[in-house]
Amino acid sequence: MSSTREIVTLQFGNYANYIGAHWWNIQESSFSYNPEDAPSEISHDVLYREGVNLNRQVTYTPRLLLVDLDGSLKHLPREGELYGNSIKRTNESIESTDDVKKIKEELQNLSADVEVVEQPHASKHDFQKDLEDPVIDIQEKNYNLADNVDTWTDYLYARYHPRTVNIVNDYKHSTEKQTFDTYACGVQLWQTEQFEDEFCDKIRQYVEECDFLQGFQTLFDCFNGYSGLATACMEYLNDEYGKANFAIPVYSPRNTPFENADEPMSDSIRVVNSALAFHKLSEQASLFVPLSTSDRVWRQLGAARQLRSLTYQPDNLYQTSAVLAAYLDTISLRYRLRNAPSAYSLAGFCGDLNNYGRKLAGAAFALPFPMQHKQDLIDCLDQFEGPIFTSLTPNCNIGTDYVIQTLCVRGITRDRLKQPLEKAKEQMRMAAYKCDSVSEMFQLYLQCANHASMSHVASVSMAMPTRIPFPSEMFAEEMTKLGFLSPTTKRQPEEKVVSVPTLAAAQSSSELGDTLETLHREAKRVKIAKLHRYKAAGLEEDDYVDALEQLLLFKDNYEDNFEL
Amino acid sequence: MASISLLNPKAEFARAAQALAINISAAKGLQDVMRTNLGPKGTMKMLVSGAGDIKITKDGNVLLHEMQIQHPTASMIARASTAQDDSTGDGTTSTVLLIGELLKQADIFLTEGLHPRIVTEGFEKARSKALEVLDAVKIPIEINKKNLIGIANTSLRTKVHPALADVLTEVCVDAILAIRKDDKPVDLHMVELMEMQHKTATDTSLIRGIVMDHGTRHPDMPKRLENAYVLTCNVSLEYEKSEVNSGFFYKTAEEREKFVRAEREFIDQRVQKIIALKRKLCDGTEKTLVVINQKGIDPMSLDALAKEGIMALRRAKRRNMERLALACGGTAMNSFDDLEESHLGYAGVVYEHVLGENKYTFVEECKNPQSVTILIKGPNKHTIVQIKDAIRDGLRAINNALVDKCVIPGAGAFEVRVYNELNKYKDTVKGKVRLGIQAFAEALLVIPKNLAINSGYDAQDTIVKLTEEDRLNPEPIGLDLSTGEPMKPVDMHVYDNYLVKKQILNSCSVIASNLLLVDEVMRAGMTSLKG
Ligand SMILES: Nc1ncnc2c1ncn2[C@@H]1O[C@H](COP(=O)(O)OP(=O)(O)O)[C@@H](O)[C@H]1O
Ligand SMILES: [Mg+2]
Repeated sequence: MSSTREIVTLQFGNYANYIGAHWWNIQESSFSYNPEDAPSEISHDVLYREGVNLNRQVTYTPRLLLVDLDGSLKHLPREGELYGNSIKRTNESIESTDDVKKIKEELQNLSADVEVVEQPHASKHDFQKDLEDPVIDIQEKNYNLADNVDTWTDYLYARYHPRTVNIVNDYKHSTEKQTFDTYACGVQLWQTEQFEDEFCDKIRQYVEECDFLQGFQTLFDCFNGYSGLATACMEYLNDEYGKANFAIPVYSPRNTPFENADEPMSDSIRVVNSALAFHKLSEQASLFVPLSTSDRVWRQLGAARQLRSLTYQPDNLYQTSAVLAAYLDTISLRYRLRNAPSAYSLAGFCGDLNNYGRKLAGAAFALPFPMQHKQDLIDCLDQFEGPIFTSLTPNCNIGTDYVIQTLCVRGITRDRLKQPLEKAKEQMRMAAYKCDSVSEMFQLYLQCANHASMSHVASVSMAMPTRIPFPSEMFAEEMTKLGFLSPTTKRQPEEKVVSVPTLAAAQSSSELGDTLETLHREAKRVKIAKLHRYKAAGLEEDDYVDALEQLLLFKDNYEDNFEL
Repeated sequence: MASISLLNPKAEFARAAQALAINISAAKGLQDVMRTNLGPKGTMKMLVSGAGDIKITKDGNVLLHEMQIQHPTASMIARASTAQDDSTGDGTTSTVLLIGELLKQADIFLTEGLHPRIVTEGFEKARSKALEVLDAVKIPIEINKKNLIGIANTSLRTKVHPALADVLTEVCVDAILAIRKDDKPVDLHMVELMEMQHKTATDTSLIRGIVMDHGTRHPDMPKRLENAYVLTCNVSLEYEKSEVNSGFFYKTAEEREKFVRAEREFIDQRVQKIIALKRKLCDGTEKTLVVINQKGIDPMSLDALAKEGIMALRRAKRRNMERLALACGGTAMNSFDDLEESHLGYAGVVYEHVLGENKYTFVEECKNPQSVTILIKGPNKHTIVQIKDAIRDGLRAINNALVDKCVIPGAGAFEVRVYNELNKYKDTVKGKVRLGIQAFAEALLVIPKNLAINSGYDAQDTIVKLTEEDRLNPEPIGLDLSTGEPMKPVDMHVYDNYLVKKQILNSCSVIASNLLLVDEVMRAGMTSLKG
């Protein structure tokens, strides 16, 4: 009997799907198909499921449901490619292909005329074409993905189950303007047959397959209509399953205007959606950690967050989503480890942080974790100057004192901890020398660095893979192939960083009170009555006022520095 | 708007006329796409998306949903017609054709200088007259299999090929008759639609019981039981690790263990209650027990149940709780505190079927099931989807007939009759308004004309034959698509829903009038753009 503690993942929205695509790619690039390899420290079965297609081939796909708008998939058939049920398209007209001829013949035998109506062939990105070619090694090529990706399906390496993709036809995808605009529209969409029946049934099918379901992780665009759709879904999940639910509201760094709205109005819509969603999340999530590479997202989008040894284009969806995916891949190790004690669960992760109703936590990340290539961790931490990581939660600073946090470190092996006794020299004088594991040493470091704080640290020795299609061009030249720093030598351009050590944290601190306060302040300034589209989609002014009041009460949970 | 027209009334008029022309051409465009679909001889369309997704359909509603309609007028017509489908399940193509034709016919008079208001007044009069005719030609029906087959088959033959339509007709009618109780309205949700991707479309069948899309999750559990008590419940049989599971809050490992054990025992007690009941009722008899739970059942609980030879399914659909109770009898239980025999349902056989990665459980041989399942089969997804759409519409056509307690002669008969009646009626009306009535009458002929064209007959000939024959007969006359000759729809069992026709008349005249009074439409358009 397996004892995998499964999780179902939900992705709502185009940017969430950008992040998701990277995240599944990262995971799959660390899969090992060699039975002789040591078993991975990560239990992939937590997020993946095994299946068989109709040709009796075994499939291994994310236990995932995603939602996007019509027009966002490009070449990707809605049912995916693993289970058939779509026609392979090339540049020529479809009428002449064998597949179509066969279907037509069958139909003509049964009734009269068949008219084929074909939409123009959706072109495939070169990366996707090469994936189908067994001779080509994608790692050897340069795709310039940062400059030519149009949508997340372009660089998707992972393959999805036919259940996974859910397309909303009522709103059209466009990179110019956002048509699916308000929280209220999202709530309305949830009440349609596509969601109340079909989508919920797909959730049930996944859940039915699970022996020990831990819960759900819900990744969603928080700035547009998905804010309402995703949070309505979370409410349903709580009613129906009552499991832990970890939410990750995300903000795109690109300020795409809403339909029939100028920039100030678009900003207002984003603020209102955020306020309504955060209020709902404070009720429905076990824990929520907002993510963005922009430092502020309420009224105006702020500057790009700076990470050491990393450069990216501030509004590049492909690159920024990779940074956020790398964070998720690291922080989620807490509940994805093989043979872990039971506190290493989704409920344990959320439960550590959400005491006193503090369901909102901040994200902090070091990508790469800045360690010299020949350095020991003990010296690295000892010599560290400045903050150890960067905040990825918008409108939120890194907490220093009275912090409750969970950390996950990956890519630092035991032998990089410290020198053996006979060579230890100076190291022996440090208190940390008595630490025998990576997590222990981080614990000690944090005890010294953060006053009156409490930390949970998990560590995985395997570094995070950053092979293509991950945007490894973001890494500085001073980084070695394995992601450590080597300020004296420069990496050759043709040599790519294949993996990096990372450090991620989710923090609960009084900083989050400020996050909520600034959101509340901005939201209060919006004259909701002037945004007709909310009322048109069924949101009354009173509901908004109520939500803001509740949001303020929620903020109070972060007011007093509690006693540990 | 008002201030502009004061400055330059001519410009205003020109703009309105131009907008009207645009409306009419948009409506014609949509009509052209849809006209080939009308009726049982309409063309099947195979839609292939840019990514290679396939959809095969003959149904106007499906087609409208798949089309990317940009033009506001076209999309207004499309919305009216999908609304038609939402409320009645039928009549989409007719709606699009009729709106387009009303505009075309009106245009003839408008170019001669007639004011749109006069035309719409005529439409209004014609519409009420047509509704009178509708009531005059309706055929009251007794609710029995033969009558329902007529209406279901007419509808289904416009969606799928004839051989399949005949199979589906039988399936749909039997399904409705099974769940119908006395004269109470039927709840179509009590017909479950379950799909299985294998075999061929004509293997689609009615299961007088429930089919679920999941099966057992324990290797030793029975895969088939006969003579089964069925316990439906909504009670968790899984040890839920609670949120206080956090690493910070247990001082010792023992403390944590204690908590886990207490929780586990609680679940075990529930499992033991089921086992006790099974022993009491089944041991020493031929009887068996099946548990169908809406909540989870964890491996430990499954193991205990399997050891007793109990078949147990977890995470059943919420709606299946109700369906199972209607199919097998018994009550869906929310607790096991006072569990007794009377709470259980019965099924002659319960068995599992595995297909690729999917499992199915059949609950069959129920006594007098009032909830049933239509098991849809097909070799690929697009066939299954097409059948599912057709069945939904078929079920609604039957249900409409149950509600209406009558049907309308189809094959263009109703439209031809209204045409003749309106022509008589218009002579009794004074003034130019009669021109609007005439336009309405002409427009209705779009239905028989396109039925004729789609079967390869001449539209003009057909109309002449049908209108003449109709004048000579008290009974309405429609078009026999296999001969091109007039026939009595009653003889051929070609019926349409009363409700559908009524709705078509109402919505088409309203929408067409709105589009003609384009000035107002433009104004409405402006305000809806704001905010
Ligand atoms: N066997 C038949 N012979 C002649 N006319 C038929 C037959 N079956 C259906 N019709 C006519 O076809 C029309 C419906 O066609 P259909 O394609 O279903 O369009 P809609 O979407 O408007 O329902 C009705 O006017 C109906 O009377
Ligand atoms: Mg029809």
